[in-house]
Amino acid sequence: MPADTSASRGGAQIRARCRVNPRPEPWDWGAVVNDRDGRAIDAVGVRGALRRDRLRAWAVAIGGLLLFSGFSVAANVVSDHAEELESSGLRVDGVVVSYTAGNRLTSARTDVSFTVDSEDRTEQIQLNDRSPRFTEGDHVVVLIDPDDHDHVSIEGRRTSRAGQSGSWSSPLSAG
Amino acid sequence: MVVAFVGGLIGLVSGPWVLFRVRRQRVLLTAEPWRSVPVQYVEIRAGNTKRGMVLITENGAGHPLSLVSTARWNLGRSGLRDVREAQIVGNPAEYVVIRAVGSERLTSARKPFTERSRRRWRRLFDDEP
Repeated sequence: MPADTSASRGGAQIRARCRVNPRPEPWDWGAVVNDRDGRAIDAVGVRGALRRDRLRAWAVAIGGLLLFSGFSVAANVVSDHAEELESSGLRVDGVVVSYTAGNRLTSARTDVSFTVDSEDRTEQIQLNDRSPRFTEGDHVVVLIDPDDHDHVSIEGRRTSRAGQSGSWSSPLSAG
Repeated sequence: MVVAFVGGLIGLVSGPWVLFRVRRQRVLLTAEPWRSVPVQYVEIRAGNTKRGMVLITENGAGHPLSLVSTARWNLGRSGLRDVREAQIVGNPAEYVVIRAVGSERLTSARKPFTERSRRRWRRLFDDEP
């Protein structure tokens, strides 16, 4: 039994206050299963089971690290691409055709019609949680990648840069 | 990207979590022998998943414990569903490593954190036939 020090009294008080179960008395041995030298780890298959669990845990941890690293790299690429579009993309006038608000599972999106190279186009553009709410008929500036006209965005859609506050949501919904 | 973000976070949290659990199991397994004890096993619904609970009876005292971080699809693999006796290492009033007799799969079980949980978990087994 531990000595009744002020520290152990304090611990008991904290446990009582938090309604955590008090530490039990030392227990008696039950029916001991006879293994070679009495240690459970020496029983058949125990070391193997521990090794398997440890290997699986390492695999999961390393897999998680790789996935998260992949996400970070992809988020940076998307962010850079969006930034590039803001700075060097073609700018044309567009009109909001429809707007769908986001929810817990999907991000907001809007359909925008515009004219580029004398061709009328309507594109759906994913928005992020910092984008303004649009209504039908709103005029927006559409940004078009000069090298890839299928890559379009609208000005003001991305309002935060990666690495600044609130940057998680932007890469997640970008692209 | 969302898959990489969510999967990465899950891996980064659950991997080290399991490593710590294995380390704790190893400490117990190195220090003590296996003991055979009578057990009862039930599964309860916990949100969208299931949780395995065992009642370990030793020296006349019943200790309700919850299986630690065992996924729903792994509950059956523990082999505890169909047994009346299991082998444990550790203090059943705190934390044990448990395995079904003849099974090589190691599972951890912990005590309830609060008195309220202890009463609730105990009632699960009192209701059992």
